[in-house]
Amino acid sequence: MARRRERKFGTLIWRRLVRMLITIVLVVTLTYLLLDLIPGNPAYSMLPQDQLTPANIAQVDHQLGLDKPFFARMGLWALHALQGNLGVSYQNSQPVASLIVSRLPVTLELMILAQLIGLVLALAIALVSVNQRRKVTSGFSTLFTVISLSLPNFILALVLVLIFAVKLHWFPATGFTPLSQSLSGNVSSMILPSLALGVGTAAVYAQVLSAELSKTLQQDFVQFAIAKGLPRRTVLLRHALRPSALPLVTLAGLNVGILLGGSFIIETIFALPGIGALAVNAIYSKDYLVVQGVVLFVTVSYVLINFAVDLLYSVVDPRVRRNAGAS
Amino acid sequence: MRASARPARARLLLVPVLAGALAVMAACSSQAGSSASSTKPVRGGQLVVAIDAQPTGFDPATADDPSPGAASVSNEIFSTLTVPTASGTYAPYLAESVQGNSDDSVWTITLRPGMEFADGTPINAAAIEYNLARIKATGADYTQVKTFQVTSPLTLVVTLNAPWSAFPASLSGQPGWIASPTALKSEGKTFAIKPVGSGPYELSSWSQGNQIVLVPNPHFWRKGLPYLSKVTYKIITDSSARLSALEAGNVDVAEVDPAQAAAEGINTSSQYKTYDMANGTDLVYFNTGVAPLNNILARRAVAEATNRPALIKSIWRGVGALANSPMSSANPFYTPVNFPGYNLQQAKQLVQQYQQATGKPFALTLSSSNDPTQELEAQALQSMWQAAGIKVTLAAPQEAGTYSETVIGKKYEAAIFGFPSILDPDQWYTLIWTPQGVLNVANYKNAIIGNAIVKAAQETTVQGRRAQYAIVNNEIAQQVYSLFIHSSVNEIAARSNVQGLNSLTLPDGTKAPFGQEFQVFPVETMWLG
Repeated sequence: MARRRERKFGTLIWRRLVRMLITIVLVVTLTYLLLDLIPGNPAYSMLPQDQLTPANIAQVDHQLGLDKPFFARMGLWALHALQGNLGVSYQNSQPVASLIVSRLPVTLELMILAQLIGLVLALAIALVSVNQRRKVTSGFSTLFTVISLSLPNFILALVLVLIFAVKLHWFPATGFTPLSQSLSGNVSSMILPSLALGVGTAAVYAQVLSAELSKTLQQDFVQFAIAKGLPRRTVLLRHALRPSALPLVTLAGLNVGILLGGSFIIETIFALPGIGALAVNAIYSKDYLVVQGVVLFVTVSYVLINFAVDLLYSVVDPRVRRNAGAS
Repeated sequence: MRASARPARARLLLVPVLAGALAVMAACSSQAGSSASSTKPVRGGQLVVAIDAQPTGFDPATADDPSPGAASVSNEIFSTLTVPTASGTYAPYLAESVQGNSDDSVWTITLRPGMEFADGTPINAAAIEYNLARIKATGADYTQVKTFQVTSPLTLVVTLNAPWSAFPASLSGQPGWIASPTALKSEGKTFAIKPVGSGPYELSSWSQGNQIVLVPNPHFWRKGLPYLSKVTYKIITDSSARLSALEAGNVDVAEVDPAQAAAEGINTSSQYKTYDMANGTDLVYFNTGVAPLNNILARRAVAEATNRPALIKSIWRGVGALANSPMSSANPFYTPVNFPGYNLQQAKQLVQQYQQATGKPFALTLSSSNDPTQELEAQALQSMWQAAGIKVTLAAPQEAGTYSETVIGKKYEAAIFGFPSILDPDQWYTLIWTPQGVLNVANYKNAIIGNAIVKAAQETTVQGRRAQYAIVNNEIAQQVYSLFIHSSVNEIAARSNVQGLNSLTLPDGTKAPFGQEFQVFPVETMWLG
């Protein structure tokens, strides 16, 4: 019986893998198509004004393969991409794959810090808000959540820069110090961007966690714990929190895409040399191969992360495996 | 069961957060601008400059710097053979002299003895020939050169296919970046990220998209320079972010938007100094190959319906001067031009004359890119022209690259555009204002203009060239081939302790003009007071 359940669970994983691959192929095809449909010839953006001769334009078209049919271009690009060759940036002649890899640590650090800030803040807010004895603080946390959800992260970023960088000189307004260069410099350069990205995330997580905590607190096993005379803190942290936090696992995974999108703006505002800033610059300068490379990377990463989250969820919650076996 | 009274969880969490913040604040250093300045250069110090884009690479043959800021970095790594002067001539810089023969068809470049590149390779005539021939081989420049000939270790003779008085001008820009032939040969394509030049600084590190660090070149041919021990260029693409970085003390010098800087009070604050740089001319091209602007009555009507001073005040907050020609009035080749001024009554009459002459209503389409300033400008122009009785339709704003294609492809009637900042008009006038020029987007045929541009290239004196360009500019104004609006300005803002930003002195002691050709700002004579 257990073996049959495991086999069925394995089939479920396999099906999700196939779905994942199909998703990647579809999104990449759509992205390539959309970029191709953008009106205008990229040569006009790439070449300086004084070199916009028909011969030079034709040369750029040839370099980018724009003189080939669409499917031939896309097939060639896909073939190279499978080998890790995403082409060469027209702007600075660097391999696109190298550019992405070199920028990745900055974006990863930003996203991890934003997630941490989001989760820590969400935990604090949710725990306060479900504690009904403190109506003032509960109201404050609700207000914080509403404001954070309403405030776009780039507006918050500008406010943080104005107050903490320009007026108070506590943190730098822009720039990034690598960890290898200085720990304090790195922390200092990442505090404001992480806050800008993480605060909105905290609001979403807090909403979900508060709702789940409120439901869990009504469960029989929690009521039993309260009836036993356990302190409220122990009930919340030891009994109610874990089952309530499971939806956060899924949400955190889904939120990776939102954080990545947010990083595009935040990295531009704070001049962080991450993938977001790379993509924005590439879009402005019509460096198509870089844009395609970034989209491919982001898509594959997002799909893989969500696949991992699905797996993790089934590990954390045995009911998922049981239900998969039963179906 | 009673819940215990304990401090709120949130309060407890704040303690480590605040402690961490305090520790970070203690670790942070912010540069406070010192109002005390020294007139005598001070050695040492580390300058941080915010630029809007990074160079695409440092190979003189392939680099395509997207902005003045990017070009500024390159100009610290490479010395150019000549530099512009305020009078319109080009003074020798890396070269000891650059002399033309009687008709400027042969040029002799002479070098100083004992100069070396950053890797110790001698800077001699053979090195110069290698560099210039390499540029010629790409087809991007020096196509007018017939031969390069090394006649002595320090002398290179350049023979041209035809007289070209602007040859020294070409040696002051990217084609004149002189790089070490040893490094060019050994590095190959990687030279673009590992340059070895002849300038005051050499590349120490380049964190792509983040910052570029330069340190002094110990072999720099100007003894005693540079003063600074390190220059860091921070790449900050957003103009507001650059301004914030300057105000926060994270950078010492920044390229800023003049209107934004004015709004923040940078120009009037004692903490900062600002320097304006010519940034080209904003204009409206008229497509004289299609109706209605193929008719001079129509072109004059549009020009006289435009209140350009009011436009400059509302769109650019009064920053930048009125333009009457492709050249700014600060250009050494400029002479005053009589361009039609604002006269609404006259414009209305011209509109009626046009309609009577052609039997058609006066209607045109105005195109712009999706740049917010251009969109605003388009709306303002529509309003002004409609007041004169012209029916104006605004075309859907296009993205920059697509818009360039539209304008250069002459698929427009009237189009808002920009003309780059120029010091020597030769290259751009040949491309844009010569009737057969590749970028003659105004689509006109005018032998007076064409002949004058050709003659200007052959004149051997500044006065002679100025006279020819005066013919060109006056004819363009007379025929109203375009509506010139505004000489735009870019701005460099520096903290008050930054000295020597505007004082690149030449070896003969004269001062080079600031921010003209390619709008670069030299760091080699800067110091921190």
